[in-house]
Amino acid sequence: MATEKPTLLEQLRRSEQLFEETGHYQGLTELPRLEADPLQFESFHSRLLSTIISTRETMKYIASSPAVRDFEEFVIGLYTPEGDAIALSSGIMVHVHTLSEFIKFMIRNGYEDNPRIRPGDIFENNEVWAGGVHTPDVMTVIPVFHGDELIAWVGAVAHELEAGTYEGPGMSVLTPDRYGEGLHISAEKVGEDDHFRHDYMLRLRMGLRNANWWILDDKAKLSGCLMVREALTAIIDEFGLDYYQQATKELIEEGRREFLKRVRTTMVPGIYRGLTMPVHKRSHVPFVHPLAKNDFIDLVRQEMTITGEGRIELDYEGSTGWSFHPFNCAPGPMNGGFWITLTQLLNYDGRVNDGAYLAVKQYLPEGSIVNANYQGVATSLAWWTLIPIFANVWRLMGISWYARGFTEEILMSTPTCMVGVTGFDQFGGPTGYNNFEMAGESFGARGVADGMDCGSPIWNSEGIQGDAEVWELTGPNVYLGRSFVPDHQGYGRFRGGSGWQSLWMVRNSDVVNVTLSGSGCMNGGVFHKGLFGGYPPAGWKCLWATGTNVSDLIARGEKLPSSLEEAERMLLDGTITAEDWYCGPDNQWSPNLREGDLFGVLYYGGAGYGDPLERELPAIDKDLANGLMTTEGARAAYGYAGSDAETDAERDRRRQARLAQSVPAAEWWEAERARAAAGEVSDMVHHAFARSAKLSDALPTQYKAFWQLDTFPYTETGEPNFSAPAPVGFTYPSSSSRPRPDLAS
Amino acid sequence: MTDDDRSRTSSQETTTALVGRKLSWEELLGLMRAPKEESRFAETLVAMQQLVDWEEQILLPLGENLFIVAKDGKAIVKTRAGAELGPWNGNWKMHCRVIVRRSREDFLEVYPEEHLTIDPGLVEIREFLCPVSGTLLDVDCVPPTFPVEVDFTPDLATFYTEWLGRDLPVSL
Repeated sequence: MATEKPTLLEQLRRSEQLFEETGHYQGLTELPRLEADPLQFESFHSRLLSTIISTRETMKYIASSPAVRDFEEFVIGLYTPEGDAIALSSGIMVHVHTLSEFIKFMIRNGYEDNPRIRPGDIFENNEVWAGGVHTPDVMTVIPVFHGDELIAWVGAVAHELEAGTYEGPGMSVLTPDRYGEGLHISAEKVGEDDHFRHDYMLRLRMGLRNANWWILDDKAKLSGCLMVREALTAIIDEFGLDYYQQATKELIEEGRREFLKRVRTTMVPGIYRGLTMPVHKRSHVPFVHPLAKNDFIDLVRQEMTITGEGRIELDYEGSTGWSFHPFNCAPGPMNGGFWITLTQLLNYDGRVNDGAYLAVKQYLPEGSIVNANYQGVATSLAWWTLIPIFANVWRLMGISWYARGFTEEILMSTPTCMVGVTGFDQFGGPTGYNNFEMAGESFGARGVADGMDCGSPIWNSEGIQGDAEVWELTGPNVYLGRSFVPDHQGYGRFRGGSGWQSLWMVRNSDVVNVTLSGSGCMNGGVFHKGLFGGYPPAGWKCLWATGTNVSDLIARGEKLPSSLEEAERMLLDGTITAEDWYCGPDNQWSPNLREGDLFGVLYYGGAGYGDPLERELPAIDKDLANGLMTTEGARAAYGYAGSDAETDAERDRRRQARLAQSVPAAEWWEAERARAAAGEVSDMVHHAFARSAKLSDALPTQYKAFWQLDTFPYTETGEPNFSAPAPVGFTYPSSSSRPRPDLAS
Repeated sequence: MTDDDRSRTSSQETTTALVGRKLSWEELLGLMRAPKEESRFAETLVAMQQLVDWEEQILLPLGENLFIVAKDGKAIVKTRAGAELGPWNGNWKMHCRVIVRRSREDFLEVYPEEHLTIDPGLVEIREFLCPVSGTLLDVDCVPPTFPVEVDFTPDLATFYTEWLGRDLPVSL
């Protein structure tokens, strides 16, 4: 009598049970395929990986959107039947695990029965409740069958520049909830027989401004998935199905073991602490939704524990709550953020698979900014919370590598700063897109060198700025300049990568407007601190000007601005006239712009490493020669005085001046305690502390202990006392607080 | 001298040069690409010990110019210039001198006017200095009145006894 095959849900539960019971993936205490023939095992892994990477290259030529074709904003990977990642390409690796969550979502929510999972089916998702991050990250997944047995999944993700959001670009800055963040594809079957359904294609045509980008990217992803499926047939023919099924499990377990080994080899166990505080000022925006009309700080307390076993655990107890804005996170986005950290900093030369995920843990307090539990929550710009959080984790890992002597591994990241454009384009059609030149932002400082001035962002190891000409074709604007900003860097012995800026003029459109923003650094905030005495950069800003005379300047052949700061100077001195304009860190939503109007953004530089007075002179001379610093800037930041001897003398003087200006910390504490007891801070800071206390006693406990106070002075949250129901009717990725000892006992 | 000895010497020289930031970019790239050697930590301690004027044994580097060292059977935090900042697992920042910047004028002593957009009503910059040398040990950016906390408290016992397989020469 034939044994009935286990369902996918049974396989998934069995896998989780085996891990729970044994601590090994699929209960694999031994790795027989690897141990019997390591060369064959390596050859097998190489076949899988090379198939996936070469497929990704082909996909670029099918895609349409500049995000995929020119800026590497996509990824493809191979998964087990239970949804665990086996191997994946380079690109936006954040989605190794979000694809995994999507597959598990379908299994846990009964898709085997309805809508059924059959050969030729195509599933798609950009839904945060099904493991996604935000609406522009669109996942396409197909099952792979061998006979009637599902043996694998292949999945691909591309970031869409336009997702049908309220204000136009793929990521909404303004929406208070999910109902303004565009088209949701909520873990749906969108195709059969290896073809997308016509009704799905029509939905894209009707729901998007630039449907061609999404549709052709979908076709690129589907083609890639089919190519991998075909290649798998050949691989299984060569190695055999039994080998494939056992070796793929062993790859994941080996990935888990290698991760723990790498942590124990390169890091130091203990507790690492960080704080990020993205600032959002929106109350001055005339057209923002009443629910979102608020100025607030999202306080995120981070505690990273490296355990004796070598596991990395992240805990966010004490963070503020979710709210009516698009910057909320959920387990999907947070796991994605953790993943980009692991793949780029720890697993870059090992097995990039879900083994590493099994060696880490995140504790995400329910209802907090990192685990919003309201069904209508918006996550359209979850990245504006994630990027500072995980960049700070990179910084904390740097402390660990320093302690172990691996300074060459220390690397800090930068915020992502973004321009969104919407309106009507130079071809007369509706448009909305994010300019992804931000994918070439600088790095923070490294432990052995300055940060790269034009590097890649935390979320895409292969990100590039791209050609200005591509962006001029993409939207109704021309570049007036793209350049580095002298003196805009986090100062340090090794400085952060230089800030740079772009300035655009509207061309061939009379109805266009922009949103300009930066993760964790806008509205007067600081992205995160530097390392070991290094400073963060001076801040972020943007510019827009409407009803300008720039067309007249062109007609007269006069000088045009080539940078944001030159434009600001020309606006201030009246060379450029405008009906209305703004340059600064707050007013980041333009009114309608038309032909000849201006907009620009500063791409914030990276944080510094070490005392700036220890920066070597040749490094300063190089920056002066390259125009990345002015002589005045170098004197102010680094005590630079030309020669070695003069600089040494100036630096000695500076250190003495510091000592004279400073006070003993204990003395400062005495004086500051009265202010801390009274809670004499700005409303926004008061509200942030009170919002943290609303969810957890972690901050009040720490505050009262440090200042030796009986009461926590912050009680006003500055927001309505709302509560919102958690989703019902489906199973979704979840997380919770770390179990804590009873402090009262 | 055996081949092994030569290899160790070479590795120590490389680590000493790394600690002194004397390696070329090509050499650094080589280190980044190479497998991570378990000997690196011991070599790093040797290299760092040569850079300080005091005798206490370095147990763990905490940052540029900051260490956990063994003194009189206890582990304490000590700066390169010799200032002692309390127990290894305490809040060493509270033994520093500090400059707190909380106004635009304060910030302008650090940042150029045209670039400065940090809101001093929301963010306070705290500069923690070695009380002996005036060297910056750490710069915090926090909301005003946020408690001072250290970024890292190591699990010294686990690190030494379980990860390194060495005796910890102090009582914790």
